[in-house]
Amino acid sequence: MVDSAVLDTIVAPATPAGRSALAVLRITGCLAASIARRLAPRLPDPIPARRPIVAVLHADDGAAIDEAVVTLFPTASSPTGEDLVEISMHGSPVALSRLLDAAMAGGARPARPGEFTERAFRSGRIDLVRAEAVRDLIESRTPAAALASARRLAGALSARVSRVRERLLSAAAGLTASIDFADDVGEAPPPEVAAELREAADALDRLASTWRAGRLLSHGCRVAILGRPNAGKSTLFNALLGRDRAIVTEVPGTTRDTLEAEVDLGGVAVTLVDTAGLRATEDRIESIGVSRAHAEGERADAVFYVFDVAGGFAEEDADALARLEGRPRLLVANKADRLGAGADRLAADADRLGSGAGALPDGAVLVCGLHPHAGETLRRLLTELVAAEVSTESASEMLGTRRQADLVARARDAARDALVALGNGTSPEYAATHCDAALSALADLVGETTSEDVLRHLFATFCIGK
Amino acid sequence: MTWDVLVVGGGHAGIEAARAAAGMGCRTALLTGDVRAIGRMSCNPAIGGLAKGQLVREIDALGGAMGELADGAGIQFRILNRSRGPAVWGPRAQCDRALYARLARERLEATERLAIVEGMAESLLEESGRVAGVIEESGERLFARTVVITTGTFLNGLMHTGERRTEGGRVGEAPARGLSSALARAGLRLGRFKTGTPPRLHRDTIDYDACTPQEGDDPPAPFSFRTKSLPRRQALCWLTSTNARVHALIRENLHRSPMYSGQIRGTGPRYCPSVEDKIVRFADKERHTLFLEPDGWDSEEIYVNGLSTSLPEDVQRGILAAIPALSRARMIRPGYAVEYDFVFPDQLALTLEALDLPGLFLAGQINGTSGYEEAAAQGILAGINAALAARNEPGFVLDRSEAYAAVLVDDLTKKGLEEPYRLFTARAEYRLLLGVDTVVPRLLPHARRLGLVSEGEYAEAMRSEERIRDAERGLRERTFTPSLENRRLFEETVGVDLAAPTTAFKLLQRNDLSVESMALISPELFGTLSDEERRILENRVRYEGYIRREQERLDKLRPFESRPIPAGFRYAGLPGLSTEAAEQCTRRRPRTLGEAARIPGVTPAAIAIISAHVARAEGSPPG
Repeated sequence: MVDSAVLDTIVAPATPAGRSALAVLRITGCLAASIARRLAPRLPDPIPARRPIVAVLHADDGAAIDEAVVTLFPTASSPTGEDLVEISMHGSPVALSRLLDAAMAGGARPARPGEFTERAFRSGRIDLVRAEAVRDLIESRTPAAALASARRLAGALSARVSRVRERLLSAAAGLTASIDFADDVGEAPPPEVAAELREAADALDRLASTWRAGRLLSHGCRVAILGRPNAGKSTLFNALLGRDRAIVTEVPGTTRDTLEAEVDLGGVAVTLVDTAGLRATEDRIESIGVSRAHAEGERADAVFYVFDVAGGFAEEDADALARLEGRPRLLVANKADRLGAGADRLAADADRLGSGAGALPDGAVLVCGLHPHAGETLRRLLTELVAAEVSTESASEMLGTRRQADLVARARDAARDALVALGNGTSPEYAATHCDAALSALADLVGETTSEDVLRHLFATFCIGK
Repeated sequence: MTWDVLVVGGGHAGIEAARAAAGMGCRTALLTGDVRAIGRMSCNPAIGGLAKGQLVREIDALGGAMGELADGAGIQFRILNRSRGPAVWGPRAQCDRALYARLARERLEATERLAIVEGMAESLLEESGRVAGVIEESGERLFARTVVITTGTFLNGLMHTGERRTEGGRVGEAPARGLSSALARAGLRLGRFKTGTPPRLHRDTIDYDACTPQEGDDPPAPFSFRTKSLPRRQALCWLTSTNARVHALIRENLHRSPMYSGQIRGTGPRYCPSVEDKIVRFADKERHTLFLEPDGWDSEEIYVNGLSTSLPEDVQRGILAAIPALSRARMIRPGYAVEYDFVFPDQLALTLEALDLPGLFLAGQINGTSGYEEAAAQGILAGINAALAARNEPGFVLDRSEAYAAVLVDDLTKKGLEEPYRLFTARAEYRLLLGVDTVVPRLLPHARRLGLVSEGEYAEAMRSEERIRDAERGLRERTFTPSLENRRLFEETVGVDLAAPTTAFKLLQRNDLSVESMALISPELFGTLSDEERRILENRVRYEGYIRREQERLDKLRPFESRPIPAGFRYAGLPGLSTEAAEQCTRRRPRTLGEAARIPGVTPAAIAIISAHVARAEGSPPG
């Protein structure tokens, strides 16, 4: 569905609300230039293209609003594909609100979220992958995530997709020729068809696999620190953050509620969650904390499970760990200093414990949370645990949204199905339908055939004014 | 008197148009320059082929004549792509050229309410913005409520054999001169295309030992659902090929080919190219196949399919001399190219009625298509629509997912045309739904509604489909349990381990089982199904998932595809709509968003804008 509103002239502030040095307001649509003239009657006629002009803005009653810089981007050079006027004014919320009123009096209506980008997409200025990248860039939480979004915005992913489409089109043409020109070219599809399909399926598979890293970059990840009381969870939490965020005491059960903080690990925005120590308790407040801790364990993308190496790995630890089966996790044997000699070495360069190390379970890492280098060590361990893919993928284009990942996976599966159909001697018109399905998934990906429901939903996730 | 429908031209389009109109109860006249030329095949003596064969079956299921005529005149029947699924089977028949024309004429003469009039149309009669008939060369006026023009390649036809030029639409037949300018005066834009024919050889002068014989199918399958059986006797065709000497000779003489010397200005088809075209375009190919096709049981003529050319006669002789099988062949008639006027078909509605001249319908090669089958398909649709228009009833338009004929007409009227249009299965979005196996259930109900088949014929034809559906139901209902006895039966008969209870339907989906092997297990599953019905059933079962997905894709797109654009909708000045898109849509008048989307220059962005305004015009939320 296209809202009829798509054709109106829209207006929205492009900067956040509140007092600031500058505020920017944008107007786009067929009335944009005439509204600009109405707001600033002294603008030259015609308004020169892409040239900032200082002008005094007036309300409808003639009262001055502000002195501002007005720039017109006419259709040919406008990012939205329609006339666009950008007004840079002083960052006064009151003046901005008066200007908005004046623009609306001139025939503009407030923009919906993402409507400027939507128009850029609808006018063919950018494809849907690049439109999504606009949002991803704005929302990126780490420099690495911003870089990945910027690459997509520049068209790197779109270019990669278009290369795959070329291959699929060539395969489809080969299949079609063997159907429609069987009397000329012979009935067997040309050998290039299978090769093209294989290349396409492999390329799509490589692309699909970047979603693991892309997802981490776009959405970050959540890591819960779990363990029994007094295992040193809050100490590790603080060490990871590099600051004393959580209260740490000798008293078991100091942390009662969950505590969150964000840290950039290898480009991934990691939300660390400190939790209450897991134990059966009569204390009402603490028991709520314990159940929250369990809930965090369920919800987290990865878990640091901490135990006191001096106290030993207890049956309760084994039970708690069993509940986390199948999830990325790291078993941390904390308080290595209590083991005596060699603790310094251990804290600086954590050792994985072999099965020979007494009562300690396999794969546990010996750490001393209080050591000055503990934070660094822990961050490295955590990066290995959750963000390993990001570092290996960071050189290439990555998928940025679930929608993209689903469609690329669908295209890959269809290309593989086509290959299977071709290989088992099924008549080529059937392989051709798989090939078409792969192509149509990619057409959806770049927005050529995306349904209106999906588009509406997608642009609704943008911020207003973008 | 005033005819309800006046058909101009007695070729493949004219035959179907006239019969359909008369069959629907209209007083119909067919105006032809020469009654003996009715149903004449001007090019190769064959009907059908890839995509074209499907079209013939569609024409037949709409009550048309072409299928029966080809069955009656056929001397060799083959289904191309037979090794594939029924969706891409392309039935084809080599025909006796003279017999075909005779059967066509007899068929027309026996058609009630149809009069055959000899004469040449010179110009159009118009009355208050509508077509009112035609004026003949003789000056005689024929009045009609609707006129269907099917003049093929005769509009300003010009034949080229090397440097020699002759006016005419076919050897020995005069061109239609006046009508072109009459159409232009009526405001229609005309273009120029060319098509070619190969030399005809004497059958007794060919060295058949140097050729590969090509036999027909045994048993032969008819085109028409009405044809009960075909004679077993079939003619042989022969294969030979060009070679390096031929190619060198053609290259040396290219400057004498009117195509290359610039003498012919019309654009030729990419898909049925002249031999000189093939050699230039596929320079790395060492040989091109030539099909030697007999012109009929008693005819001495052999048609050299694949050697269409407009090179001078002496070069054609040189070419033949360089081909071992044809080195001593006597040329009865040299190949020649025909250049002719066509009307850009984007000036027509999907009913094939001229957008700007109500009552005027155009069908066949005049619309820039190539091929008898494409012409006949347009002919029957134009005839039906002319009859409906004469009765002031709404037009008959099929959906692209319903028939290749609809794909053809939609492409012609919505997309651009840069060369003669030939149908391919690839032109359809829903190839799997348009196979010959589903033609009857897809189209026969329309023919019944239009009165083009009788109730009896309808019931009889649908019986085959019912048998297949019954058998399919039976397969779903029949379950084989892995009893000792059954396991032994499967193991010994078809080498399959029956491990769990399985329906016959599921079993037939296995790659290692077929209708034949399942029939060994349980013959009653397939009852009285014919061989062809068994193949169709097997494919439906085996590729059930594919067909279902295609149907789902269609269902998903339908709300968009069929969303109507009101008649007279104004595109000009819609904010954001490009001038090109606005002009194209204004000119071609799409009825739905799907049609608009196929118009060149109408981008997804333009569709979004049109959709929004259509919704606003209707005052309802857009879908």
